[in-house]
Amino acid sequence: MPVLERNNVTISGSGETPMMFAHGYGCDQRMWRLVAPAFADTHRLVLFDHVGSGGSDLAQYDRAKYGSLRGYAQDVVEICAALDLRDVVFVGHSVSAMIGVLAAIEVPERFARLVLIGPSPCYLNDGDYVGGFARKDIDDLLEFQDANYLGWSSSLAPIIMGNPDRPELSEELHASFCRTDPEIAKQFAAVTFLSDNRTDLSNVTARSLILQCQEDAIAPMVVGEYVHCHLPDSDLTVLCATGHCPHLSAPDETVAAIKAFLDL
Amino acid sequence: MSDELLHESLEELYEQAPCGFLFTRPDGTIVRVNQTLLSWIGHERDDLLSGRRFQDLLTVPGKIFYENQYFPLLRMRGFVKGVAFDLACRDRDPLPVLVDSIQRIGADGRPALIVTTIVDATDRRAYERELLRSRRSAEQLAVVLSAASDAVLSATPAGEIQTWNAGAGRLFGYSAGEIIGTHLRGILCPGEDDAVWQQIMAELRAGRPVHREMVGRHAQGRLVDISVGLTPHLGLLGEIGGVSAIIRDIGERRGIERLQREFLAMATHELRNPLAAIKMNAHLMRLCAAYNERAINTIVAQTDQLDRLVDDLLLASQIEADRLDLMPEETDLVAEARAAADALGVTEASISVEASSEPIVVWADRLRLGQVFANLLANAVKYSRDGREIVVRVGQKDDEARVAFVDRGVGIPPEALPRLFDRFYRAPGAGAQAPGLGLGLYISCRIAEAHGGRIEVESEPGRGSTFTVVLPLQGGRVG
Repeated sequence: MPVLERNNVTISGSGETPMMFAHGYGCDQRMWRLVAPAFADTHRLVLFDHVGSGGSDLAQYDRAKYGSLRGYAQDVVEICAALDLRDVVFVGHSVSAMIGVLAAIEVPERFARLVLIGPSPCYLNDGDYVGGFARKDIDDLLEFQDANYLGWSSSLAPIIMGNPDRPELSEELHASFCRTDPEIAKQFAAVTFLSDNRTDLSNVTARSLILQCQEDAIAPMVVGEYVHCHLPDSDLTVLCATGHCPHLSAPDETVAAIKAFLDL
Repeated sequence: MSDELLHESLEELYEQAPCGFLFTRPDGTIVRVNQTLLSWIGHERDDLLSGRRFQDLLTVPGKIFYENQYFPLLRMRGFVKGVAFDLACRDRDPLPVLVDSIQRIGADGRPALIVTTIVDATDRRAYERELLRSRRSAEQLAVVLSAASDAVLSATPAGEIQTWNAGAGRLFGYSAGEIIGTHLRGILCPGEDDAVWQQIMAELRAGRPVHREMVGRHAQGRLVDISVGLTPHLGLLGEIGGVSAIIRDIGERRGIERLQREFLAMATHELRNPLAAIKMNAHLMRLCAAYNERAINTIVAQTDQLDRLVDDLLLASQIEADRLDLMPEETDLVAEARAAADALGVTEASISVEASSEPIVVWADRLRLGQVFANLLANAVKYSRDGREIVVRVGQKDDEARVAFVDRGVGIPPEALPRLFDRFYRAPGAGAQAPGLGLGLYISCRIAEAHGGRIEVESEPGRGSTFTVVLPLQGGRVG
């Protein structure tokens, strides 16, 4: 099916209820490897890559469509339709939390639960609203992209002190992890960090869980609380983990929090 | 050599290394740092070891990159290589660096330590910026080149075409894929024989650019008039490294030059005729030393004709230079039409004016308008067959006044219609019937346009023609 190829959809797990995992900006579905397997017995796991990331079909990247998060949300809706998913538990990290919100508003009958990891409806500060970033920060970020585009091909910087221990990804996969077309990466960054979906939150009907980390530079605590306030029927769980990727830095804690939410 | 010396040297090597060393817990908390890094960022060791994290040393974009890409990569792949960051430093601008990190797994199988090497990348970042800037500039230039209307191409010293822009494609009818690798001689024909090419190559090899007009060959076989500018590019030792060419289609210009030459020839001829008649009659009277009425009449008539011709020339050149000065006043078109018909007087044809009794008023330069009417009437007579009536119809429609000159003459072939109002154009079939410079319609059309109007033509060969002067009714603008 074209949609499933476009988004590199992988399906596993032996359960019935579908559990969809949406990666955030920067990497791809492989970042769920430490968390998703914990739900393989109880759920049908649906993982995918956003167009432009991972193993998605880059040729289908459309600057006009993906100039807004709605373009990405539309893909989620299409994947659900292609697989005819019902009662979906949607797990979205970072910007995919908002993508999930938009998809759930579009087809509420398909989504039962939302798990939002490090969500932010708007990254820019706006009057009393604290998003955490000034416009200049985002401009600097987009300029910074250029520095790392060239940096990726560097072999100038030495690796010292031996080999990495037991990487979670096998050798043949590591080359493409977190690497994408620089022009697409730049646009995705701009679309992500300049998005504003604050007014969409109140339209969500599905029960939601917000997983908030300490000292998350991208989605600080005050933002998590904002989301909790404006999402009707939501729980907020503050994790001990720090940083923006608890599903990587504290997978056990993350799995436990989600299981508790799903009454598993 | 003592062990102690070796040990001290190793310590010093670590602390004073040319790169920074940083050891952190998986969450980024700093547990060990070498002196080099401390000096770069201007912090004290105790300060850094008091719970600070690596992320705290980064600028805002760096923090975002750390969370979104650096950390996932490190966690999943076990190492990160050559990531660009900016280190926030006390008392100085952020330091551009390249970072390598390795993740060490502890006894429990979980990540326990991250070992990071940090290299000063100031020069490298400056070089990368320059590279990006050059690339963008080249991309912009490529856009300009591809959009240029002139043909821009380049060739090897041997003359094989290397680059080919869209303009060249339009001019010569070849796509880049078709032409690249073939020789310039396939499209350029500077002369009949080889000698001309040799001469051009000699000039280029001497480092001199060559500008020539010549003939080019289109893909479909036809020849095009072109002007070619060839520029040699010389290498370090003065040898020719390649040739670039800018080529422009001068066919249109050539066409106009040709028309101008033809016009000059014709004008000279037309002006000579009345001059010859005047001279002859004047000579005659001198010879006879007597007043000769017929001679005088001819001289006066021919002088008038000369006058008209020169007037036309002058007017045409004024129009061309946009120096046509109009002196508009309230003008009744009906009255003017009648006046023009009367002025032409009794001739081979009869002219009738159809108009309402009410005046139709426009804002116009009466003298110039009179010239337009006179010209169109004269044409109607010229191209009419004997005895056929010419009708001048004055009316109005919507907010425009219309004066139509209708003849039942030879008519104008359809292919001549688009060129009718061009300078110098003589409609086929005009020939000897019609003395004049061919400027009449051009002048009339421009005068009409200067009044905010136009001239419309309808014609059928063998049936006749209608020329209609359309002008805005008073209330409209005079341009």
